[in-house]
Amino acid sequence: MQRENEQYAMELIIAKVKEGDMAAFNVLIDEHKAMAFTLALKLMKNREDAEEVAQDAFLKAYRNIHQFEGNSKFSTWLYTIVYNTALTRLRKKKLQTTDLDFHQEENLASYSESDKEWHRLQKFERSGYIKEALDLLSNEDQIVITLFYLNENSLQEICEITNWELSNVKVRLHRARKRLLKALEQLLDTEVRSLL
Amino acid sequence: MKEFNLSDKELKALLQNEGMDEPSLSFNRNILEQIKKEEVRSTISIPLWSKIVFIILVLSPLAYLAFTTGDIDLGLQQLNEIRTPKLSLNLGLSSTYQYISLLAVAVIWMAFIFNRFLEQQNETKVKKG
Repeated sequence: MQRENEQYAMELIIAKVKEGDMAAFNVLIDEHKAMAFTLALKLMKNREDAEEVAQDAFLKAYRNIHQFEGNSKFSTWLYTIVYNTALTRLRKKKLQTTDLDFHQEENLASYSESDKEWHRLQKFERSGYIKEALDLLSNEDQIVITLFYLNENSLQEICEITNWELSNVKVRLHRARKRLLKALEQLLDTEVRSLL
Repeated sequence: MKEFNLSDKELKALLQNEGMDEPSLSFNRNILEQIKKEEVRSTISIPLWSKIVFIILVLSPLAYLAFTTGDIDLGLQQLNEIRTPKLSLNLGLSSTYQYISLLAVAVIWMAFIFNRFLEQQNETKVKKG
């Protein structure tokens, strides 16, 4: 029921934006800016660029709001624009992105110490490690993890946003999850060794 | 060896606890100001007569150079005589001034067309949603 109400409210807001209501568009920005910015930041790796990309995406969304027919969620449509805008910007800047070579880390000696350490960590400390581990992943891995776990997008929505095949999304998500855990483990392992 | 693992639920909770990154406080204002600027720009309509005057001003030197000062020889008369037709444009430009004015007109048009092309390239297409 609440979801239906939210959807109805969103439809009303979008209808107002289509009529040129700036206040309604401000509501849309408020609603989606954090995720749009987070998504852009995962690709751009730089707050200034990410902010520019997110702003540019909102401007494009406003200019092309008549193209939004409600076939998908507004957020999905918007994040598609954010994703494509960021990719276009990245292509232009030809940014070098860092990627961990996880194949070299296959032979880590022990996992048990990391596991123990993890459970000892306080909640806020865990969050810090998660962020650090996420930063170690490739752009694609960060995007798929952010969309699926943080924004709770479905696999189908991730397909729409990224234009990847469903099978590709599934494989990427599975691998990204594994890599995230491995990166987390490695960070904790280093922490344990520094304590010993 | 016990493999380090987290359930989907735990991972989701951790990431959501970490939260999203927030843009600067001026984020909304910047977007709305940009939209207002664009709307003001689009409301300034260029009257049709000024567009016609502009086109005449740009085209007339070219037309002048082509039809009054010079002769356009496309080699059409020689088509029957020569197997492979030679196409040549002889505008009969006799002075440096004429060359420069022709060049200027060409540059203006090339800049205009190139600008349009770049604008189209920069604009990412937005899919229907």
